Amino acid sequence: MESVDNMQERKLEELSLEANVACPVDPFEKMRKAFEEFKAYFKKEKELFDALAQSQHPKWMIIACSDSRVDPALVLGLELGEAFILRNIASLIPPHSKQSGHKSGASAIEYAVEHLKVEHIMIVGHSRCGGIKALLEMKEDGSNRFSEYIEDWIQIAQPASEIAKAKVPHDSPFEELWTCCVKESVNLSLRNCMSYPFVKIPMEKGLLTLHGAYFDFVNGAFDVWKLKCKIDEHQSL
Amino acid sequence: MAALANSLSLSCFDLPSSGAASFGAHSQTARLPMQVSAQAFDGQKKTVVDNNAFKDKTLEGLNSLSIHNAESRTPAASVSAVATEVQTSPLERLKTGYLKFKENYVKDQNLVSSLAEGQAPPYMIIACCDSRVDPCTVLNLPPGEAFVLRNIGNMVPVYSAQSACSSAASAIEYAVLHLKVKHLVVMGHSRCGAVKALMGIEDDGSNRFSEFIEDWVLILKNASKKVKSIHKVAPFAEQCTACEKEVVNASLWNCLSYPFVREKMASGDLTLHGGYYDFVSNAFESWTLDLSCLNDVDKVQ
Repeated sequence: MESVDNMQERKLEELSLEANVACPVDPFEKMRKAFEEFKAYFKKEKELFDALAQSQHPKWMIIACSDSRVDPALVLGLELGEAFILRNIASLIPPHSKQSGHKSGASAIEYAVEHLKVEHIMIVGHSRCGGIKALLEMKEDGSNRFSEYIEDWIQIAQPASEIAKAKVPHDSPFEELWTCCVKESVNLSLRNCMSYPFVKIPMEKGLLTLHGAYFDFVNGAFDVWKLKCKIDEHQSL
Repeated sequence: MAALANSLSLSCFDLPSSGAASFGAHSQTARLPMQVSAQAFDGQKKTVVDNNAFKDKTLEGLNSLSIHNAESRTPAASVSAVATEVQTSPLERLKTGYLKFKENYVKDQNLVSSLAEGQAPPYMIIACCDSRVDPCTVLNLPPGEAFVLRNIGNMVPVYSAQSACSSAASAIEYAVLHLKVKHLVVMGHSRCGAVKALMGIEDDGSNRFSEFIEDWVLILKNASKKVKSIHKVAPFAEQCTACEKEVVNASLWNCLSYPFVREKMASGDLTLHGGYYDFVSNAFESWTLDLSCLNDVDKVQ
């Protein structure tokens, strides 16, 4: 039986050999060609890109899933400069908390709202979301845990899972529960967005609108809805 | 193999200086664990644009669920559409965009049905939220091609054994272990606001301006420290450009700190790449981490 050391040495040599052999195909070849086409477009729209090079003024912030099938710029036909886009598994936004771990979502929203002054935030859920499926299949006692990080991330949407399970009849097909949970997760993330003062204040002033969306690539549909937040005029009792 | 994966030295190291133009193939420091070779997309070469660009043999070799004849976007037409849409309501603008996408998308029913069942993207791309750098637009990647994580500054935090509710860690884990992507690309860009914010932070935190932004960008404070020490006398804008590339390298290095990334790299199933999109000079650089350098890495017991 080969000793661990010998095996390591052999593996390193093999890797070294592979890496040093001239690679016949370049993974970036396709991207290189695509960028050439993009460059031509860039040259053609010089005025647009000169302006963008100076600064960006997107009206939209879009929060979408990392899923390869749901790039929001592609799906919504957005041009460069139109939307500031945050993407993570299941387009989740955790609630405002100074104690939360990494602050990728919070910092992006803060930058978009306070510095870029976006006028709209849209959170897009989608059909067949793997993250939400994992959430629905999670056992309460954690006995079927399968990952190091994924469950901890997707736990953010746990309240949405509870709402969906209460809403959808038990004997319904899984697809119905799945769809409902994605939409409830979008709503949860929208409410979590509102928990950030720098979102709540412009919303109340009518300067920022929050939208939910559901992209169904199975049936070819894109639904949108607004989150309304309004403080009515004070009335004396 | 597990012993090898855990024996990589992850202590502080020096990456090639991201000075003037390209990244050198050889490090200037003895302890460099990574060889980086740069390739710039050279716009001066005459290139015949292939509208079947998506039928790339590389990807066919790598991924049997291969890539489709997605129709090339016609950016010129889209720009005119934007010009006429500018007076309409914001949601009308999205509706127009979506209907155009749908019109093109449904032409390829094979693609539609295969993507409805699942995704098998060959790439994971980590890019900035900046509205000017959508990777699928810049690199013309159709649906199904790339699993994309976007945050401000395209930053990847270092591995932590304690769960930290990390969007980056969960996305990388999912892409590498479940989607089994072949290539992980960290893509930086010019005029990055997050990098500028990082470079502008005073050591004593006296000029703090946000609730969350500084805490986020400081995960890569070593990148800014390094740039400031190497480019002490350069103008701030130049330092920021250097830092934009350093942040890509630091994020790649942090990717390597995840055991599941190292294992896949060691088995040859995953390659890490850096990219830099410069929308000021209309150029794109890319570079790849060379595994043979692992020979030089100190083993840590």
